Amino acid sequence: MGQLTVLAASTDRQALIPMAACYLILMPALALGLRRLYRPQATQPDPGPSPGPSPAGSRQRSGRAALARHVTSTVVGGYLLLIAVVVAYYYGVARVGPGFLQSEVTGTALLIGLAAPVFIAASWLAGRLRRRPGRPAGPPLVPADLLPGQEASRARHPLIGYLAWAVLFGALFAWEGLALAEVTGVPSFSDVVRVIMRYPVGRWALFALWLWAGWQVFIRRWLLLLRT
Amino acid sequence: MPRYPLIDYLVWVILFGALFAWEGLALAQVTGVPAVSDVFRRIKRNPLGRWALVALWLWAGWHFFIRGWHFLLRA
Repeated sequence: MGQLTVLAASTDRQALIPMAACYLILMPALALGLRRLYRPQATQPDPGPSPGPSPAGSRQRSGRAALARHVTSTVVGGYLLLIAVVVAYYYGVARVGPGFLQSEVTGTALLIGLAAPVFIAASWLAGRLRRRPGRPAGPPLVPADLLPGQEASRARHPLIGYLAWAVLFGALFAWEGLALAEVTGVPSFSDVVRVIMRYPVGRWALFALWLWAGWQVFIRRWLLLLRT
Repeated sequence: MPRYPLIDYLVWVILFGALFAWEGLALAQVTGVPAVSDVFRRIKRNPLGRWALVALWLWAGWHFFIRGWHFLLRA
């Protein structure tokens, strides 16, 4: 048991590098997205003529195809990126123990397999709810920012608002980094989560939160493509 | 499991409280600040950002719910 605790602590400390790498990937991606949003209109690519009216069935089929392509490329790309990082971490930073690589490869695949039917069911339910009679008309059929090659919606916020998010996330990552480096002796985020997960209700709530976050971030908005 | 003084957990509570408060201001549309979904939308405009978000989400799921289980691995 003592050895396991030491191994867990060591693994946590070594997680500092991939955690920092994650932040350093996400923030430039945010900066690129903001650059596209805030650059002058004159340099924006011409989005071209808006798509003309087409039968609802055809729109729905193309929406489903776009959704399938988008979700597949996103999940496969994310999975492969994670595996690449994990392999580099394992061979370049720390060989954290037997079974680590297999656990990552099969465990994350298992999670995708668990999440997929939940997302499909949630999407189906969301579609059913939207099509209920008497519901007011929703947003446009295909939001401009979901169409390939087109810029996001023009709802601009002050740049300082995005910077505040970057600072807040930076504070989280920095505090987690201090905890993992064992500089300050404070609990890491994993320690906090472990406290919550001691109780079944906490475990269920966290897993539900994890599923909800995935659906919210990667799926929900694309469902607008299927609006008829 | 290592035990920490209760006060040490409060920093996490404050940090997440700040995140939720900022998101609350954004959702209430009282200050014109972007919601966290706006931030993610900006990140997702870039394929690498999209993949990094998926990777982070998958890793979090593995880290919290799978790590340490061996029923599939039979080490």
